Amino acid sequence: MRCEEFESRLNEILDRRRNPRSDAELSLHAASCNECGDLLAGYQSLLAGFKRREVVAPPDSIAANVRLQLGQKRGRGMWRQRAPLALVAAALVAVAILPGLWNGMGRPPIETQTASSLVPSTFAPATLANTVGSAHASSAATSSGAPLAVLARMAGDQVRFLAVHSEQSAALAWRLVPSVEDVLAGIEGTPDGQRTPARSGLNKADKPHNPSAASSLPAASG
Amino acid sequence: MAADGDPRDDEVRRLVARCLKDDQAAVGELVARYNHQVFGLCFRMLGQRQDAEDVSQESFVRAIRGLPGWDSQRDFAPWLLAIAGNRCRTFLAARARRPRPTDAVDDLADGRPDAERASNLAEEVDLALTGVRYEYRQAFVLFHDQQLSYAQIAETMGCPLGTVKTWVHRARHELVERLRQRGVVAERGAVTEHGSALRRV
Repeated sequence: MRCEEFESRLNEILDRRRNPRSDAELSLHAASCNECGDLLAGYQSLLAGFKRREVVAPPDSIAANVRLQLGQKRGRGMWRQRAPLALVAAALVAVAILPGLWNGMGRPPIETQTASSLVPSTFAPATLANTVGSAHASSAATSSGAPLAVLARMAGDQVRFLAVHSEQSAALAWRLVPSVEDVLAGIEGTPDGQRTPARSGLNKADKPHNPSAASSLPAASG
Repeated sequence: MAADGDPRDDEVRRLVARCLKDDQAAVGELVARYNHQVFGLCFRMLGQRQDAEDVSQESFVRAIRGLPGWDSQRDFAPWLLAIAGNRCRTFLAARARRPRPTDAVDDLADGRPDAERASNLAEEVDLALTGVRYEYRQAFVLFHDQQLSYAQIAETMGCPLGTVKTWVHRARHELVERLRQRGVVAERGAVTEHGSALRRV
């Protein structure tokens, strides 16, 4: 055997997990060549030292921790899967409950409601007059309040339209309308509070087409 | 490769099938079965017990979550050890990016092989192992520590069998060189000359 072949031959034997000393040819060459003998001794020391290393036992907690970690991830996964469903359910519940709360909260039954209690606070004559009036005052120099008056009249028309078409109480609508008319009168009326002729009362076109309904309307209470 | 009809392989397949059905006891059994191998590899690759525990745990979690992707016609151990090996590599890369600890923290014993403290051959071998290139080290540990065949190592490391052989041979040679430089094994005139030994491998 030549020295150049020695190390590859040594590796072949180690690859087969055999003891190099058991190979006669290798042992013979190592005994006759100091360099190759040292190389063989070096390899044997390496493997002996590697076998002698401390055997480190794994901790018992790994299995439990793995199961715990898998459980946590599974839980998060389930939440991710169910979150959209939960959100939809919550939205449905909200849609079902909130209008009921809004309608029923602190209000008497419909039969006992008065016109003023049905008017939202922003439409209450005093509030609206203050709000629109102050806005009107601030913009009077430029536009003399005409756009605000139009807006207020449109809001009044909307209230009237909704009430007339609700079938529950057309009369209720007629009780609300004069309130808005009063507000308008407060905005656009004369300084002493008198209504201008154009805004007093209702135009004939505003009245419902059903003459019987119109005849049963109560007088505007203001 | 999976040995046909090997009862141990059938047992592993049954365990995996139970794990896939979310059987927690089976998960525990699977971890217990491969705990030594996975932890052993992680410990040899990382050189630190706490890190090895963390990476072993992470490897098992990833493996169990990835069980649907395991080909049951193949050996389970190389597949699992491949995951552990990849986790170790990622961990070592992250460790290398981290800033060096202060001297005070450095003084704390962390279980890693220490050139100052290596007092016997086994510690010297561990120390030498930490300096070897990652692929050589992994191939060497899988062959000599985990007793895997070259074919299994090739499957684990995802490279040709011949490459694995070369890596193991180079690891041996480099380790002997390092031990010699540390004065642990006898000098060899021809080997101490730069590169002369490498040419022979």
